[in-house]
Amino acid sequence: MSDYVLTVENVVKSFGKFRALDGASLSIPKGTIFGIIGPNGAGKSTLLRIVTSLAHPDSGKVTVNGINVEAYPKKALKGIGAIVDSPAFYPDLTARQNLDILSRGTGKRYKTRREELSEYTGIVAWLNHRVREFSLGMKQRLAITLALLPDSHFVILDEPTNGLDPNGIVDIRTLIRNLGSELGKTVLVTSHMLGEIEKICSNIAILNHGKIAAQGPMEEILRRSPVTLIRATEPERAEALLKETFGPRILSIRQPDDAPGVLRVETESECAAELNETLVKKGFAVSMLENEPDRLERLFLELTGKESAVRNEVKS
Amino acid sequence: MILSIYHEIVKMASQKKHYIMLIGYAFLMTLMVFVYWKFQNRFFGEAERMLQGMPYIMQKMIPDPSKLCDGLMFARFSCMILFWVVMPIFAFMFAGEAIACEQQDGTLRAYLSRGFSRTQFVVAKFIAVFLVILFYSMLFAALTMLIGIVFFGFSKMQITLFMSSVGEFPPPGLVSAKKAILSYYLATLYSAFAMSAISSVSFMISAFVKRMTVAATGGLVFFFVSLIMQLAFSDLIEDIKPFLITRVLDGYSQMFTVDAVNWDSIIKSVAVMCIYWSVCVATPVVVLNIKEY
Repeated sequence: MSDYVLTVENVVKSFGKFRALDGASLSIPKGTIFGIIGPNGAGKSTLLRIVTSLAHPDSGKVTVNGINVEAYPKKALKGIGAIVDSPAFYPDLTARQNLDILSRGTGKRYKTRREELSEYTGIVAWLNHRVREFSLGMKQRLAITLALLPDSHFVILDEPTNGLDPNGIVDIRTLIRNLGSELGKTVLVTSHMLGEIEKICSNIAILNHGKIAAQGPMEEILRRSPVTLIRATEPERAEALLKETFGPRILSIRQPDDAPGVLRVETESECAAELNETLVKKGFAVSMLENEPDRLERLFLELTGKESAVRNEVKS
Repeated sequence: MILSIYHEIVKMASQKKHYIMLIGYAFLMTLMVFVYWKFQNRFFGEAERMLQGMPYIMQKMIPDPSKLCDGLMFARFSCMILFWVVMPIFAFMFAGEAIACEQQDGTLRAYLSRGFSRTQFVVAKFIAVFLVILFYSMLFAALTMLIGIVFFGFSKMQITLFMSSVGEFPPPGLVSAKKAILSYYLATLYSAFAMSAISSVSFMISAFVKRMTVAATGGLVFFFVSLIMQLAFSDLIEDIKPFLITRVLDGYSQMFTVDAVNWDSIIKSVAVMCIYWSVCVATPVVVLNIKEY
């Protein structure tokens, strides 16, 4: 049995002359909350549509638990609960009827599970209400409940926090995290909200122009080139000292235009404590020392290679 | 499959267009009661004048005309219009939205992403559309008969007028009310099948488009063009006439004639129905299985 719930191998998909996926490959380990991030048009939704057999790849292979999705779609998708695009329901039916119809669940065991999961996602009191009365946040909760029914082990959520207010975002974020930690589900989340992905996911892949630019555990990816921000007296002298002391371990060091007096030190590996110790020993007063926030955003912009253009699109 | 059909019926039952159907039916019945009342008065007047001119012994042999124009006659008369004009429109509405609405709302994508059988999905939808049409046909037939009996009474003998094939009227005769009721419901049952075949055109179109109105209108246009061609250029389209969708309606009037049903015509009509069913269900099955969503 494979350790990966989902493997995507060299998938290519074109729409006319536009190549939405250009040899994308990724593997999602069991029990992880996996995030796929990418700018608009990067191919996230196309990838999900291929994974859920809604679209067919031009070439390449997608397997779920080792079963080829193209060859055996019913068998491969049996344990998958997917919400591709925005959650869609029958507005004139109740939440309960929607769950029953869209999951095709029947029997006593299913009904018990439906009630338990509705309780878990916080919609149990709304099960007899028509979906047209639901807010977007409630629809997202209902979508997550649906994705877990009848007995999904792998949940796919496409932009689950899109359009939600801050409270709704926090609720859905907590819910998704708990799917992994409490229910032991493998979750695949796509988003262009980098802050959300950073807070939710244990593993990520960055998709750009239909290719996977990077993938792996979140901490590993973010550790690639940690950046420390230091506010010290005499920044020019401090910069020279650090260059001299750390040599090639420092990949870059500069004072950002928008934060004069602050040194932005990019290092090979995490060494904030060493930087601090070196400066203090040489008599510099260090008033601030912290890891640069929005590390994912920085990495994302670097990997997607269009920092200025993408910055406007990215909501973090 | 039964679960799928049940789910489709639940979806259809939740729609608001049922109110439109009931309002449409109520409007038609109101007009029909008025028209039939006027017709009855005129018919009675003429029949009485005819009877008065006849010898007494003949007057005794001919049944009372007021008893011939009763509620059952009203029901048969009304259902002709109901099933030729009004029910096709309702059927097109239901069939047209079957797949198109799901595409428009995004529920089709949600459903198909679970890996469920697409063929079963299409077939279940088609059967559900038929069952809804059958339900309304039977309901309207029963209601129409009830309205007729309440307003115009009920007699034991029924005239065979409106019980024979259109265009081939045999001389009017008399049948028992029991036979007339049987023929009335057989014709209604036949009409439900005919409506299902007629509306299958909209069903097929709904697999290609995202808007119910496009699918319903497409089916309606197809139906009325066929109807006009059949009525206006009957002689010129002799070769293709047997395959026109309106051909299936011919069997409807046949079913009114209990004693002398033209089974040859019925079989031909059912054969045409089968052609439309096959093509209009197989096409969405193929489309859903190859189309990307």
